[in-house]
Amino acid sequence: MLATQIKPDDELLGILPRRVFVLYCLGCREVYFPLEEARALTARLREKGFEVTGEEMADYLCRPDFTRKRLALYGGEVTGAEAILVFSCGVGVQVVAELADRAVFTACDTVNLPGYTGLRPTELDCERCGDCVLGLTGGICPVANCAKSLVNGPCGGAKEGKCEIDKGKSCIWLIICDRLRKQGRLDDLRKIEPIRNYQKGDRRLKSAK
Amino acid sequence: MELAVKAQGEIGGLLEGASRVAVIACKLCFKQFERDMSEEVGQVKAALAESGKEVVAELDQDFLCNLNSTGKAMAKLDLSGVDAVVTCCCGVGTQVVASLTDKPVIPAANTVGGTSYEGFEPVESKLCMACAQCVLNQTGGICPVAYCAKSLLNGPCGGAKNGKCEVNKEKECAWLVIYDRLKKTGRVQAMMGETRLRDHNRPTWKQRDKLSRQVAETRDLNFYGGVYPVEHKELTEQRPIEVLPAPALAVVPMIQHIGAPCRPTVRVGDAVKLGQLIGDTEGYVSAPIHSPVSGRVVAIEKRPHPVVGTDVEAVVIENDGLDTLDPSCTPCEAPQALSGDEIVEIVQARGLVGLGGAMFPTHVKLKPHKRVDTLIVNGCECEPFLTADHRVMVERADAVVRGMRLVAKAIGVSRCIIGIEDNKPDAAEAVRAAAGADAEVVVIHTKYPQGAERMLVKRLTGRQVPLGGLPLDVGIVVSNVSTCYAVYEAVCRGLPLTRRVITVSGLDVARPGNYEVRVGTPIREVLARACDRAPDALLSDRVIRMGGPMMGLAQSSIDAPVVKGTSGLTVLPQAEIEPDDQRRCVRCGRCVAVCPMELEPHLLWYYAVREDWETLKKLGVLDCIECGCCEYICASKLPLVSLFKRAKLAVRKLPQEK
Repeated sequence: MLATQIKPDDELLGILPRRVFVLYCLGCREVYFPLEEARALTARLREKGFEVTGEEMADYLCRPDFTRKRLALYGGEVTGAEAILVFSCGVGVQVVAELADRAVFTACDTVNLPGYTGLRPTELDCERCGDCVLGLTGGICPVANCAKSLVNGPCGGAKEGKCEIDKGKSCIWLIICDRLRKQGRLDDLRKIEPIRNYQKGDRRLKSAK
Repeated sequence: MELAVKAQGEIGGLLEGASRVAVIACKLCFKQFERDMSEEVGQVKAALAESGKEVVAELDQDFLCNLNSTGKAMAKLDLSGVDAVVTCCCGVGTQVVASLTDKPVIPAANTVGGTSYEGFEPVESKLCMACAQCVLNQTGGICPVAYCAKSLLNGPCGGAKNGKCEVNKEKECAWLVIYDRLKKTGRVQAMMGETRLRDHNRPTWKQRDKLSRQVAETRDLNFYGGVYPVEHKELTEQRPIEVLPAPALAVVPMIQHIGAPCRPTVRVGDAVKLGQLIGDTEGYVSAPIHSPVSGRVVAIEKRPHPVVGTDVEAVVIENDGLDTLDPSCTPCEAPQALSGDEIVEIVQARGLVGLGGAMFPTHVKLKPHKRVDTLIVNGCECEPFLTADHRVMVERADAVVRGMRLVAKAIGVSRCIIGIEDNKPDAAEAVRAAAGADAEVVVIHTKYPQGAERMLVKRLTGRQVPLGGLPLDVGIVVSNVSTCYAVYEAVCRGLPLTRRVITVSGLDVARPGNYEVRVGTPIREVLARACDRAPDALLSDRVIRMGGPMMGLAQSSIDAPVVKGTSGLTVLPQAEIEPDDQRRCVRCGRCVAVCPMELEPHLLWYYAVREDWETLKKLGVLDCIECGCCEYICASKLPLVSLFKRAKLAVRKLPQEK
């Protein structure tokens, strides 16, 4: 699940051409989309002398068939601009960039939230590492939830049950141990292969068409 | 999303000591419906059989990662005789299942992910690693974090041969593709500059945790699901109610309520007065219809109807402009002296129906056949654009509260709660001042569809209306604020329901606002007052909805009149992407996440397309309230609501089970 946050002005204003068309993607608005902040940024662009040839709200820019149609409908708003400024996740920006015949810029950084489908993040996450240890860790994933992604037990740095990386976060290994103890399965921990095979879940290698 | 089933030896090893197992499988997201995972589940079962395990329980569930629906499904599953639970799903699903049972949970598959999960089209290789430091501005909109095997940020590694990556010869070198794209748009300079380093600390746990919490808090607030559409209420919410002149020709359809249609009680050529009875029926679930103007009946014929969709018998009255009041419309000197039954009689005689849109005859509601202890007055008005109820509350709070007291007396309750969404604080203030100690005014978080009875009752009283039931089943009557106002008008001022306040708003509406119009005013005339463009031109290139954008009905004719249940007219742009039932569902799971009735709309769609009415009945299609949340969120833009409406009609026609 993805959420977007607006980039700081100084990262964007210096590289943006003067005449831009602005496109907001509301597809993930129900998850999280800072529409007010996005509009405020567009207003600042105008104040700073940028020409905004048009502002449109779309959704699901990540669907190429929809986006192709929309770009054609926008007509002059797009063709009159030097560049398109997109407020969306990285997928949406990449789709627009492939389909548009002019430079495409993004105003957002994308953050992933735990949980896959639907709109509500779960507390539980899966990194698709391709080497699932959940059968031995009481159904709680240390790869996704331990700050160090350790698979063979706690690092020892936890204080009062809290992770040493961030005190707001519980040490996931202590929670794993609690659940396994409750189920009388603590011995399962001895069966875990201590070395993680990073190649198995590498999405960069799988992204070829 | 992709799975790779673990080797039989590994599954057997994980299940050491367990002999009886349950198998829980997910059909996974971003997959075609036809790809049902039976192959993977088959492999898992074969591995279990090979290891001598007995499968004693099974569950197929879509979106195991959805805690709400999975929790409900697991509650029905008997796991008492089971030693372990085996899952065939992604890591999130396994963890959700593990959080719902004390039994050991063993995943039988590794989650390897496809190229998509963020995007909605699994065939396209567009991937975002959500690194929280987007570099697409420098790379021509192609992500090197996701597509360079080494995630380099400052150019190619130099190892590519013939344009192919040295790590995987099948793959293009992402940086060469980036270079080509930049060259095409004359932006090669963007690649230059300082060496860029990736900050692997981003997104920080704090950042993700904060966002997650923020989302989780607003998502299920007050009720499961729901959506937050852009409201556009600012267009009209500060516009005082303006009275529109009565139409020259009033078209009054004989169907303006749920129940038996009325028969005209006048004939062509008759002179009628304002408020005179012109349509009536014997049926109890029905409401009489009165003339909205004074004049002469010029026709009784079939005319377009805004809700029914086909032409419906209507009494057409030529307005003489005098508004001569019918002698039956006499104000009540002492409304406080009326008994409950007398109030109900007046309400029935004056033709009141619920003004929220359902047009249920009010007098039927006021004669509950079950014990009632609370009256809820619905001031949510959760539809985007509409502000008519809002203005009625602000400007006519006293009358609303007096109407509420009459309703409370009629149904015999002393406890009244008025629920108002927090996007209209001025309405809450006005109503609170008017109601004093007579009613509790509760300000509710704004989320669509908070105004639906079931959600409102739950939020205000904590009571759960049973599926297929009414608020009455839990001792509650719900009435809309405008209906309360109409009760006041009917009882105290003696006026039948012949006019109401509607919102006219949207694109090309030059004078958006809240207008008090006569029932029977053709849409054409209302639009002509509010818009500069000709109403016929609007019909050709805009969508005119009676009601709001979520539940409003698109009009095919502007000759249809405003009826008692009309809450507004919204002019919307034509959809850039038309709903199309030929597209396929990508199983993103969003409809399941927003359905306030906690149904599984993607499954309803699947079976409705195949006209499998029996299965639809089992899946609870009759519980659908047609709120439109699923269609609003649908990533494939499927025409879900119209299909469900058709499915409901078909399911109701099925022979009843004995």
